[in-house]
Amino acid sequence: MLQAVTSDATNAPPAIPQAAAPAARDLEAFLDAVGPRAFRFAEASLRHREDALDAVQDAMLRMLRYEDRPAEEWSPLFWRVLRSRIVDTQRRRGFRLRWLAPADTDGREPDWADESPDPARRHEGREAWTRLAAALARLPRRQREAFTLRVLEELDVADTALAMGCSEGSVKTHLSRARQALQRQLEDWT
Amino acid sequence: MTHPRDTFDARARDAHRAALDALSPGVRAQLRRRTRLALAGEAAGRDSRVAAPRWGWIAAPAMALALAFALPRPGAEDTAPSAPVAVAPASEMELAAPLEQDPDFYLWLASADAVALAANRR
Repeated sequence: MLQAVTSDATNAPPAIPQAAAPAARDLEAFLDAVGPRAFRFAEASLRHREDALDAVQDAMLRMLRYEDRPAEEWSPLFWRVLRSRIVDTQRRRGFRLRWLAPADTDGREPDWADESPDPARRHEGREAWTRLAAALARLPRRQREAFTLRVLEELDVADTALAMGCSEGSVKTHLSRARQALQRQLEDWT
Repeated sequence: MTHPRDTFDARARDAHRAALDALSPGVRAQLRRRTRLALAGEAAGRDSRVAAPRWGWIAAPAMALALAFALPRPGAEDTAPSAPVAVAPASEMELAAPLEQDPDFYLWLASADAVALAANRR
């Protein structure tokens, strides 16, 4: 039931400073761990670096409300909050692009700074993620969320349903359709 | 035998893991800073891209109001007869300025022609 990130935050050996620290310190560790994953999730949905960072920060801010909840609930709550914040940004941006401003182009390419000494491996990794991110971006939002949360973030079905605000059956349906669509786009991956 | 679905998922996870490892130092620093800001209770900063629609919401009704008052309305002559009167004196005053220095103008004002003209304008 627990996501890897939450497990890391809650099942770590209780060192003395952590045990004596207030709950915020545990939440801080959770947010530090989930930050990069949250950024990639937001970046794949919004395709804009600053918007993605804003969404992550606001989701983290809202998590302060749930600081007193058991740590195992943080992960689905966080993804639910972040998902909602991303939808808000997409709606605002839709209005902005239609009426007030030209399309933004910043951040269309994923942030990438692989320092691997092997250029071939570096290129391969970047290309694989760029292709996956582009394929995800072409999916309907619910399918993209189901695949990202269930497969990439490795939430179980119940937590994915909680994060997406839908039934477990809907998660399975969205995930199945997402897989079909992605496999069509990335035929050489199977 | 491995199911193609598992192969696909594993490939996607590998790509995702590589993407997490390849985050730039700049984005990592931003994430650390923004985590601290969030824990301190600060929402994400609103830059001009976000502010633009807000100004749009304020500016659009203001411009509409300004246009509504500035444009001539149909039937305005019937309801606002003072409008031409407000313009006419300014132009007449400009035209009359040199006459103030002319003694003949005052002689003409006392004549029957001026009286008759004033009676016609009423």
